[in-house]
Amino acid sequence: MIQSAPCLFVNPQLARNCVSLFLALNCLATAVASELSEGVQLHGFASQGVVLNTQNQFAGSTPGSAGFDARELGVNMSWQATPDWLVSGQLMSRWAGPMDNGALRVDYAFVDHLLLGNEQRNLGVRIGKVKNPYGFFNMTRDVAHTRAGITLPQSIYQDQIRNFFLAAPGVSLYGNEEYSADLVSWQVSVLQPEVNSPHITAYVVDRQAGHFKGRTSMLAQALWEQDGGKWRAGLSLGQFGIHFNPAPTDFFGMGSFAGAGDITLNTGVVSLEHNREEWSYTAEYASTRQLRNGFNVPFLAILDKDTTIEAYYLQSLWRFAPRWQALARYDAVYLDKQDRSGTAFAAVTGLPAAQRYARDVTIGVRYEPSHDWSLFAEWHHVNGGAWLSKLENTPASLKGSWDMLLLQAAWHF
Amino acid sequence: MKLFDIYKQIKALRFLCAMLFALSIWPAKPVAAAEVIVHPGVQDQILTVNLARAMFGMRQAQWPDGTPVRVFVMPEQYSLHTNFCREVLNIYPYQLRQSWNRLVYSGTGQAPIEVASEQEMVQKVSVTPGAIGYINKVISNDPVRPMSVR
Repeated sequence: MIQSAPCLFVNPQLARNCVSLFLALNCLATAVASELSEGVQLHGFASQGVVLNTQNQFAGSTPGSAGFDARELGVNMSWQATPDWLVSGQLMSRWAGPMDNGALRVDYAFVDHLLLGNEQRNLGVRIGKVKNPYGFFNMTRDVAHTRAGITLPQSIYQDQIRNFFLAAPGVSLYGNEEYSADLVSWQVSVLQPEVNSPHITAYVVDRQAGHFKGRTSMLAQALWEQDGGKWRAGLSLGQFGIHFNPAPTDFFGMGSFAGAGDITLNTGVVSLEHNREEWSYTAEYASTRQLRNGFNVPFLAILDKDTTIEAYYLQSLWRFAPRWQALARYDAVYLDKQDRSGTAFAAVTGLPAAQRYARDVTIGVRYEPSHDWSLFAEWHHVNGGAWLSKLENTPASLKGSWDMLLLQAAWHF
Repeated sequence: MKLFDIYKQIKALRFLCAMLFALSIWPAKPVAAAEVIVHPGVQDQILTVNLARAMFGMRQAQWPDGTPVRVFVMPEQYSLHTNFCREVLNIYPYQLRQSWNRLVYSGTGQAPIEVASEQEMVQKVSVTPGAIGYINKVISNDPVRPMSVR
């Protein structure tokens, strides 16, 4: 129960709930081994993090005092009824300071039907709430064991807009093509993004009162693996549309200043990975063109400004001893490719330039005491606050240069 | 004096680099082979490395005759599993684990069934139609059939 101990300092009731949940999951995992019955599997994960910041706030931490409000819990079940029918669903709950409150939600739930399957080719369809394939890591971003470090590169996998990109109800067509030493897999989805979250509102329209609604959107990904994954490359392309419904003005004249605006995100990620016995190198580059119109706020013309967000990272992993792994990463994001320093933004809005970029140097280490446990520690030196939540960091308090130490214990079955 | 110190440091650095290089080319210790086994009812005689990768990577759900593929593996810390990944599939064990995790936690597939010993592997594969697994060496009275992977 290593991971639940820190919550004792935060909220005894929460701590008790966590302990009982972890105990229950542990018993369950031991009882089910790998399969409940033929074709029915149960898996899950849990993690608890500790955040220490010098400046700014991330996942509930405040500068100088440790934050224990970073926690992930999930359980999934799948039923392979026949080789061509699969039903699966996952429930999860996540805490990240004011960014996530632990509310239980359906992470995914869908039916997968294989239309065609032979030694060379698979072709199938998934209907329901499906995880969005975006870059190498989006589909399993909440499972600590699938990440290289405690956080994913925030440039591309920003936690504050995660709900938007994570999963969405829709229909997906997918397939695999096996060549002599290569594998090409792809998925094309038509989906309805889930965007009604205060973080997205804060991120996109700077805390205007109102809510967003997803418009029918498209996402496609193709992945290529050479020789069992020694080289992996991917291309993800998406067009996401969202519509803003401003809150009506009340008796006191309070409400949204913004009009019913529309945002279209045309986004693409190029991914490349090279895997060797001891080393893995990963690089991803994302470009997102934001097309905005209809907000019509005279003093916030930036809400209707089209911009291109540029994000990339380079990462290397070193498996330097059995059970040990070291991580080094450089991660950068610019919310406006034409104004990387944010100075033009600051001049127009009076808001800090540091809101518009973030360059993060990360080093980390991971130890796996057993196959189901992982212990992580990582240090970030960050310049800028583009991926910090505006709900935690007011413009006046945002500091440009800051450091963060993260610790995490994670378990899965 | 200062120059001498720098010279000493460079020498130390060169020594460190040489050691790191020596470690990186140190011959791997010879590994025991692993043999793929299947349920006696499986019709196929030979698997390509690619198809074996697809099956153990949980991407191939059925045999050509339509029988569901049931995959059995040993825990990752066992040398038999490591040898099997390297010698038969020609991939690293961590890559296989990553593929399973991607499937299991996105709901797009299932994990293989883990067994704790070679005896259990033989027993499970022998009684499960469509089963595939691996052991060190098949002996003549084993109730499973060896499968050649090329």
